[in-house]
Amino acid sequence: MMEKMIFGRYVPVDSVVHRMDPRSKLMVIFLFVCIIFLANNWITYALIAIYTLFMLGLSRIPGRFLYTGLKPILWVVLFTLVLQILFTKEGHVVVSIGSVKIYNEGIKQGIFISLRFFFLILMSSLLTLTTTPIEITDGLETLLHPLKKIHFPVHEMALMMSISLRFIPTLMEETDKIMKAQMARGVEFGSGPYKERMKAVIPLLIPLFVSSFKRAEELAIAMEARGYRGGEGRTKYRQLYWRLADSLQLVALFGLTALLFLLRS
Amino acid sequence: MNKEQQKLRTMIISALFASIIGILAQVTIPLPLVPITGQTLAIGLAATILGSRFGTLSVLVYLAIGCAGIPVFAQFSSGISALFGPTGGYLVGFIPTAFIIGYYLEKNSFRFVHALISNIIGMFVTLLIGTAWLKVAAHLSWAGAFTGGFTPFIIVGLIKAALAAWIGVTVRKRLVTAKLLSSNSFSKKKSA
Repeated sequence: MMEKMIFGRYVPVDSVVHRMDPRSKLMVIFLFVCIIFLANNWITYALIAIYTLFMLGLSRIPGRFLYTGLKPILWVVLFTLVLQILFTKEGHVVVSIGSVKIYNEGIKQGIFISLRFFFLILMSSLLTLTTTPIEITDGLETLLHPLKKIHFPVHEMALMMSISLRFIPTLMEETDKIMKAQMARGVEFGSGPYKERMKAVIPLLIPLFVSSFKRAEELAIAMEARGYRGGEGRTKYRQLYWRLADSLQLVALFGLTALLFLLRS
Repeated sequence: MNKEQQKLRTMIISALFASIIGILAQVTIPLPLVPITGQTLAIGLAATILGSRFGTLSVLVYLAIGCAGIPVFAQFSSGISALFGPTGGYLVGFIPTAFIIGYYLEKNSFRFVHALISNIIGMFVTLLIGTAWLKVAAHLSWAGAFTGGFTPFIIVGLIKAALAAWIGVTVRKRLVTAKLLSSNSFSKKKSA
């Protein structure tokens, strides 16, 4: 679990997709999320399927990692499928059980929309499976840079993201320690009357917040001592490189977009 | 302490809060009928302690690290798919929720009544955005979206809001006593 909290879902395999620039990967995912809504018949969904499978093949991610990524979302997909089938009232009735009538349009729509989510999940898993969280943060910071014009704190947010990423494991350990310390003092977290259980949250939260305030103070002093003065003119330790593969990836996606426009009904 | 130094400290605290939201989202408080996850509680807390501006920012950071693949969403899920999926609206809804709770409390005072009102408003905002998102993303009718994504969560939501308000006010009071927050303004650490 701890490892997951540090590297997220990143799977360290060497592949073309792993070596791509996080900026290009982020752009592709963003575009993909938009163009997937263009698909509305069997041919366009087949195109999307081919593209997704091709990218997955390139990434050389073992299938079981994809499956574990999909598992928690599968029930959501099933849930929408059921809602879709029950609430669409178009086309002709296929099955009717009592007052519940199932229409053929409902089934068709349900399958399409489930497929859409399925491919969306696969493609966006690809990003997190092939890119470390810190690379994603760097990519986001450069991509969102123009937002500075409207006074959105891009640099600050990227910095906060890296701090947050850095401290998740630390604070998790801390939470665990505090829980154990309070249990040693007789606090019961999982049993007892409900009122007591609610109250048990307080002695868990207070030490956690107090220590966070202390850590923040320490980190702030350390940063100031090293001359941190905001994002202006700051150089980077990790540099991003845009390669041929990144351009090709974008071109391929534009091609897909054009095909979707042509073939959609 | 000058303004720059103050800002850096608030920024770091907000970043740590994003981590805390992620950790608390994995903690479940077992209640009869429905277990309550720490996620809603933590969002309310962040807004109560950090205020509208930095509370919202810490929620944004929380969502961003979740998208970057750290399993900080409920049930250790993560990734952009969680956000763009049919239930993503409930996550995106946290952004305005945090802002509204923070803003309301800034305009009023930190009494339980105000915390309760703001948390209930916040809960409805989250649910409405989540339901609207569900409707659009899953191509449902309004009736379908509301039956699936709104009505079943109202009572649980009210319990959660009451809890979040109570815990938020209590924790804030303790932090003020510990001189980590000043009582009248938001997130301004008293200079030592």
